Amino acid sequence: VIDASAVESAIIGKLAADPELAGLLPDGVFWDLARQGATRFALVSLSESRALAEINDGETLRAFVYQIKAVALGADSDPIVAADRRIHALLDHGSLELGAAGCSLMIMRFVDRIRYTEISEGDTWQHRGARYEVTVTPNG
Amino acid sequence: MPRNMLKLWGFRELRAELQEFPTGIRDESAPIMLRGARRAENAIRTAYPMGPTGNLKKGVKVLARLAEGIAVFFKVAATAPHTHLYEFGTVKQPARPTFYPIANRERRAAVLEVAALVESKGLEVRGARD
Repeated sequence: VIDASAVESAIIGKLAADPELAGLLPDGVFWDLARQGATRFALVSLSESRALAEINDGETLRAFVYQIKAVALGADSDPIVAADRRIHALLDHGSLELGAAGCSLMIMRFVDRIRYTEISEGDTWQHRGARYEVTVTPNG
Repeated sequence: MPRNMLKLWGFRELRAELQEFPTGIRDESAPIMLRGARRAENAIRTAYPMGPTGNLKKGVKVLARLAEGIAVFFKVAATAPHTHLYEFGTVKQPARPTFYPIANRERRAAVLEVAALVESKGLEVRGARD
């Protein structure tokens, strides 16, 4: 049985464990919303998911599409550009440790880009990242 | 006739039929794709919340058909200027993915309908169900 929560934890864990990304986004990696007061962080959330056609005796492949973006306070683009680039390097066609999720990675790949600027209470926030598709197949 | 020549009787007719066939498929596919686009439009409008202006809902549209060759396109768009903030989140609000899941679901459903139509014409379809 595929444990979707464990797949999500694996992605967050992979990003959080990377020292280069931690240097660029020191407040950490969060699911859906960052902690109060964070100013440079990564956010992971589920965009969509689906089961692919059955090919293995009732077991299905599953594709999860995650929205994964760097978020930074301020108008300086250098840190967020570097963070976006690092996230992409880690995830696009990358590996993922899914031992606890009951499944194996088939492919993790870039789907489409996300980039926008948010003005909130006079502050400028930059959002950059992408949607990444993670396709897994159940073990056994 | 030389021994190494293969003559295909009826080739001219077959070629003519193949030239006509995609046009027929396109004409029959277009309403299927349009219905799918309309289903997506309605479902996304329903899913979006009613804000003070209603612009999020009002901004969902099916844009003009752009046909090239045998291709059939209908573009479903969310045009409100703050759609991305709703869909992708802000520093205070989490992302609320609505457009992609609905649009992709309806697109897949429409493609499967078209695949069934093509198969009903005796052709084999590969890849459409992935």
